Amino acid sequence: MNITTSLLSTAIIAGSVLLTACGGDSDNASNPNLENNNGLDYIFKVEVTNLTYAQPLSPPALVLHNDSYTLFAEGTTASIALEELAESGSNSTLLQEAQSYNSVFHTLSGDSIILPGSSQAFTLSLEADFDHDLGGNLGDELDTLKLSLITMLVNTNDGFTGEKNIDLSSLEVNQYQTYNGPVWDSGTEENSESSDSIPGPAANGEGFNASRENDVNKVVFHSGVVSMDDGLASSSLTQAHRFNQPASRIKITRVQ
Amino acid sequence: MKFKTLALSSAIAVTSFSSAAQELEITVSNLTHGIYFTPLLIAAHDENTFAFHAGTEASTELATQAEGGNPVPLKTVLDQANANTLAKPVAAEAAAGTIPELAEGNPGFLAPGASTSLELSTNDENNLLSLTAMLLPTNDGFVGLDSWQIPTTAGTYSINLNAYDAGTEANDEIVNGGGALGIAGIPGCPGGLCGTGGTGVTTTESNTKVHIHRNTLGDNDDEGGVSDLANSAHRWLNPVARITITVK
Repeated sequence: MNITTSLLSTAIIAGSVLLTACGGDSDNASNPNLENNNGLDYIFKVEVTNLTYAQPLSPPALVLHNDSYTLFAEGTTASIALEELAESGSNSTLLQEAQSYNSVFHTLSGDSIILPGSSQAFTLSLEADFDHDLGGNLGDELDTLKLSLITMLVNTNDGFTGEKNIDLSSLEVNQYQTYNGPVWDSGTEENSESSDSIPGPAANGEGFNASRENDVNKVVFHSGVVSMDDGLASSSLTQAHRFNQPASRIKITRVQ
Repeated sequence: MKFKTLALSSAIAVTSFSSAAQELEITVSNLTHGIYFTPLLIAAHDENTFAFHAGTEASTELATQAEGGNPVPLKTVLDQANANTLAKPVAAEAAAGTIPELAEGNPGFLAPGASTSLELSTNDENNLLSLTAMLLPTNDGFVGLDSWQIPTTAGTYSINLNAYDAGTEANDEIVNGGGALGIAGIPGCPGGLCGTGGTGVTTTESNTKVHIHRNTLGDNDDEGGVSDLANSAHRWLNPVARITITVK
């Protein structure tokens, strides 16, 4: 069970933020977990594993939010921020935008590519005594707390994986939940697989382009890549870049 | 009191797990169109043991099963860790001499669309369930379940299983009988439909960790091309299997 030994690159990023104070110390007195932790009430460890053979994953975007925020929804148009991440791998616009919403508690960015077969871990700390103008209390906020996490498959036109709206409220200390991350297509760039359109190391082509010509302009499950080895002569991808569902695994452990 | 309210709701929302001995009825269904499963290895084990983890290198024993279909070495390792294990269909056990020989013509494979059932009794502490079986014809593909937490609540649970690549052999897609550890090639093609004379899809395996199989490539040339596999017969989409577990 010791996945941590396999972590190629472990980014421990303590979220400095989060969630407002709940009542007084008396609320915490009955919970021994809360007595010796310097006021840190909830800590989640989020591990992301790249399950593909040869698709590096861009630095993930992690968004902690409530029910009012939607990173994306299948069958609907991708935001420009999602389009940018799905086409170029850059999460900066998406995270900046998310931070501007009242429905978003916190964001995190991965600091590097996750290579095939590798994992990265992130730590999300929710401080009960941190004075934050959320207007509720930690318990109420946690009841609505959702994690959305996405990352691009960089040797695709606009494919991304992760999971959205993960409910963190039901986890008890030392419990974990795992999710298989499917591959979506943002529907914002034709899957030409051409060398000028794939930003990853397979081609080093263009990333974000605002045009949505020749694509369906809605988020759907990815149909996979064809590759030059399977008859698409104009593809810059080889048989090695093919993938199947799922492309990522997300393991969330409540450590405190 | 707000924390107590939260704790109560959490207790309701989360299925409880314990370490008590259990009786399980297990059915495994091959959901693929044209891929065979070699003898299944099913194990209930504790959290200090595992059959495989995606993102970590395969053990020699897992590689032995994934490249050649033989579950016995991995079963032995798990048995030594006090896991409760079964290998079924039982071709490998027959080969190992622990049960009578199988009738002629029964290779012990789980065919596409077929199901098999078994019962497993678990000891205390063995509250995680894993499954492995090689996919044929592939180089080192296997269907896998890794450390599923066995619920203590009686009921029937179904899980879809995906196809993994052990990361221990290049996916050359050459059917040459090569099933031994470290020997290139695919050991066999149950169900037929494979060609000959392929030049080989690749000679390298750049991802040496267990990962999701990228699928076979195949081609439509029975007497040449790059692959001995048929692109119309030997591909799949995940999931490739369903396991249904009844906790008594």
